[in-house]
Amino acid sequence: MRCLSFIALSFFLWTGSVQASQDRSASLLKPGEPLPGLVLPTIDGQGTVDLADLRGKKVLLIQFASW
Amino acid sequence: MPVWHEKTRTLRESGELVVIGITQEQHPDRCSLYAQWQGIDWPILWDPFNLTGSAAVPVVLAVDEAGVIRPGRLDVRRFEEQILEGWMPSAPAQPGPAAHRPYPDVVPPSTRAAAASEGDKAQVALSRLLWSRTAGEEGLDGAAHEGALRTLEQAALAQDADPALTFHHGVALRMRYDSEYRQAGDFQRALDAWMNALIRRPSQYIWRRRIQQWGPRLDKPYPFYDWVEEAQASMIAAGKVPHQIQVALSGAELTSGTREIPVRNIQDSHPDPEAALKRDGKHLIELESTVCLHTGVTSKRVREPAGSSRIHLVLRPTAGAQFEPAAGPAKIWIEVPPGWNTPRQLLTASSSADPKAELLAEFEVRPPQPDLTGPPTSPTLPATIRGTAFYFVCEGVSGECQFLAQDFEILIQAPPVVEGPGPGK
Repeated sequence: MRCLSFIALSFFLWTGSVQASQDRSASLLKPGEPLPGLVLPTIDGQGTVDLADLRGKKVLLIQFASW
Repeated sequence: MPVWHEKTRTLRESGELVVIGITQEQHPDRCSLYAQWQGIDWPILWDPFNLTGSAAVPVVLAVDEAGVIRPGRLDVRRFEEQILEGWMPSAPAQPGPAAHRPYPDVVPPSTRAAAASEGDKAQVALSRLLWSRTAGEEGLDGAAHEGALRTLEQAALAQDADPALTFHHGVALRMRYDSEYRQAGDFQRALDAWMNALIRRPSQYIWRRRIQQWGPRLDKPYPFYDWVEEAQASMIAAGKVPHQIQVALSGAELTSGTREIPVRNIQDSHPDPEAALKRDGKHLIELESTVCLHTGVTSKRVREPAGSSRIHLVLRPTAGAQFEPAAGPAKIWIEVPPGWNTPRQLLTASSSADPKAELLAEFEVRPPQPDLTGPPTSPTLPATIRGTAFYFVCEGVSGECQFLAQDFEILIQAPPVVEGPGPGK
């Protein structure tokens, strides 16, 4: 029974780790890697920012939602 | 975010540090109100399609002068150690390689050279949607919405398509639902698309939250926009005009989560048990129902609570018709299948002083408790909720006004699964 539990746990951890790594790979914002060139509008509809233009400065990038 | 805002104030004002926000919300106006309320004055970018690919928020990243994201998890409680003493005094990073452009065709449409090739069609469609409300850019009419939606749908259905494209398609559908070019079923199709994307990438919590925003309380990690009323009142008290919320908040977006199952605790009486009230044969009022399932249904390992849902029922006057607000609010009677639960059977729709405004009624249902010894599939779905809407409606400003009823059926079914790549592809 313990053996079965271990196998089940191992499978869960394996599938979980695969899932986690896949999701990390889907993100464009990875520590250790350059910020991608990505153009997005501002929330007020008054402007546009290209993340690639932020080079040359120290930048804090805050991803959030108001909820 | 308010803590980060305060902690970085001196560095921002001295020009030593640039702070940029990216919000992953469907509606940017809500974030605008939040920023106004909190006094946030740094730029916030709108990423409703989740192009950054982030799986969750909040995430705070430090980016050096070379444009490289520094490793390590930032914690605002360690701001002095990590930022003030650790990062800020460090020598400027040397220039690095040019930035990779994963979405080269996602650009403001006005900046796209007319002579340039059209580029990736799905990215061009995303661009038109993203910048349609930006000053100086072209808005979208019905045909443009339809064109963008078709392009995104085709891209999402292509073999080996990334499930992110299915999520994008859902975002675009909800955008049209919120526009004057809404078509019946847009919101349901958006939810179906998001569910489909989530089935294939279940640990994508930005996608999951987009569904839960309108989902049942049993699936709600927190109230999403319960702060809005306080923010508006605070702005008004300060003598400011609060940023306007463009799309009205639904009850689902304001309510808190719960762990209690919805059980019938009020014995309502049917307002028309003999079905004597005249039916709305002219369909003066259009009913549109949207079912938002519990996101647990996306996991094959979770049989329960398949079927726990929040249902959004919209009552919309058709051309020429209008409600008579003085006659009182519309009422909804619902009948759930045997064994199913819902807190009450007689509901009151939202009210409005505008007789042409659509009204909304929301309710939640839950299927019978599963038999844990049974087979690993839910026998509860599909299920049908039946009901009747009662309202006082007028055929135009000077036309006949009368109480009418309209019967309806709402089908609750497991999310349609589009065959595609497996989870995480």
